[in-house]
Amino acid sequence: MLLSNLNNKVLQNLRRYIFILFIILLSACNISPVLNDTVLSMKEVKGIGELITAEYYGEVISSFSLVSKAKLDTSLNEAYILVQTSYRQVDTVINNRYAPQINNYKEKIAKLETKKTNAWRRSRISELKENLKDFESKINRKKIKQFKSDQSQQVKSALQLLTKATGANKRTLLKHMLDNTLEYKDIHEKYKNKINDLRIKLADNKELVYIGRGSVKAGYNLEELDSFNIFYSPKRDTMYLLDFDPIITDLDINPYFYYPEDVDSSNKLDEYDTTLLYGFQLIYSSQEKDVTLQDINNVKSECKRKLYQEALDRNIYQNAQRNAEEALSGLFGLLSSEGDREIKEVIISHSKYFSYQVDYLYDKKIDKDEFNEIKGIVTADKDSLDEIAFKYQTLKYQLKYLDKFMLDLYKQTQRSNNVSEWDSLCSNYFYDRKIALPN
Amino acid sequence: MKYLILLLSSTILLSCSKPQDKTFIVTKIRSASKLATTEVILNKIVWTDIKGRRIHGLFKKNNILMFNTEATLKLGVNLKKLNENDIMVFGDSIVITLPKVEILNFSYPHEKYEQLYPISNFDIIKSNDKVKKLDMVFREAETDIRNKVKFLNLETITEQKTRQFLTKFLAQSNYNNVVIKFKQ
Repeated sequence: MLLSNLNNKVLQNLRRYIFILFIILLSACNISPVLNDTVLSMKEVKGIGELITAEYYGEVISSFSLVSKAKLDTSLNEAYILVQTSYRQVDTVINNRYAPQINNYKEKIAKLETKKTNAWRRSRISELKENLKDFESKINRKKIKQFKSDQSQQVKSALQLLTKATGANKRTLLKHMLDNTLEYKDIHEKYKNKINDLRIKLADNKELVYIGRGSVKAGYNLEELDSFNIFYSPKRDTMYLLDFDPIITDLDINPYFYYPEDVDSSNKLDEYDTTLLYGFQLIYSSQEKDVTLQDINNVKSECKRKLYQEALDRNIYQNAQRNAEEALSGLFGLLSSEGDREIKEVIISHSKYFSYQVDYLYDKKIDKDEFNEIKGIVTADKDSLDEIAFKYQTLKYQLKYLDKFMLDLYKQTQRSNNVSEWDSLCSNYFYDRKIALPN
Repeated sequence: MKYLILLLSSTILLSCSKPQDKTFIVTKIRSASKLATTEVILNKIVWTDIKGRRIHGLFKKNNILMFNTEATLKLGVNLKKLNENDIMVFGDSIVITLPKVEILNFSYPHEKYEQLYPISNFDIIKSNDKVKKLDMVFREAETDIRNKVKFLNLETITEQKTRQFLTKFLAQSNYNNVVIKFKQ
């Protein structure tokens, strides 16, 4: 009896423990997604000739709120420019229409002011000034009325966005836009708290913070070398590679981050001879269920943009050039050691457009000032040879580099928030030069 | 009560994900001298079921994630491993013994993950760890690609492309007979 009771008790406890263990295992088991096995197919194999001479391994951080802030700022800036352009057109038309009446008032006032002053004249001048002020207010009202009736849906939406973001009324905003000394950034400064509130509201409490670890590699495309830009000086045993620009060969943040362990020595250089970390590592998130694929991609792209900027800040191009000169001196030295000419040194020089290109592509978008500069370069170099930058060369040779400059700028700023005229400048340029627009 | 404490503490302990124990110490520019002669573009369909978190996930309908992804590999030789004895010149003929070909760059960019609508729609998944799971999926996919690459015989293709490139390149330096060998 006693034994049976004891057994029952033990069994009861055992059942309890098994049940608890089951619950623990079930709740602790974080079900990871299992990748279904699929094939790896080779889509394309092509021959290239890239000499990679500098590598940067780095770590950056970016977040959804930073990206959405930048995105909202860009949208507001664009909206401001759109409304401003449209309103200024209306302003010019109305001003021209009523210019005779305004001039008439001003002439009358000026005439009276030049004469000897007396009580009647003083009262007449103030009366005229009052009338002019009324007339100008009437014109301003007309401008707004005209603007409202003329505005396209696009302008209407832009103005709505601006009023929603700033909380300012339309009249105040439009008045601001006519002032040549003021820009969007002044509006932004004045209403930054309101704009920030809108950003938080739009973000819908979502947040994603990613650390991105990856690499930027730079070097030269050896396929670009031809007899036109290779010069040999027998006197100095030196080979000159002219107008030979370095390129970013790779910019990667992969799911996993492989980097060489011995960052200070050059013994282990294999891709697989590495230490493993996450490439993109999510370090904080909130409201994940509302996050879209686009949100994730935007944050990841921002990480890549920052990594690229870091590599530029650490002079990756200068390093690539120095290392390429060293590597090619060694290679050509070995190749020429038993020939009739000896190459002891290789000197590389950039084309005229290289430094402009690096500068313009730093933020991967073309702004107003950059646009005007590029327009100036294209206008000057499309039809006449720059004999200082391209000494002893032809216009055809210069155009080859100008085409490359424009193509690179276009390709790398596609789908960025560029100044609105940028696309039409590119289209016109490629049309004139009979170059197919790259996808 | 003791069962409840035991349950909670075990849950917390077991569900903590293992942190990465390695740290990345140095960010700097490294010098390199690598000649990439072959670019290979690979396609992989990434397909998985993403479930809700823990217990309630077991009872939830599965959500399929399906992406067409693309990886780009650059292969070539590391010129730093080349030394004087590897090059022999006889008049206009040259014999070069290059180091073994290797993968110089592996790129699996998020820009090349194309979601296959409408079978897969990440945005409608209402799970509070879906981003983590998505990243996990692509990490697994990268490992899978890296594991399968060795079966693609890329070494032979790269050796052939390297020969083609160097023969053309050296012809500019008046070498008419170019023999390229590779170290084993």
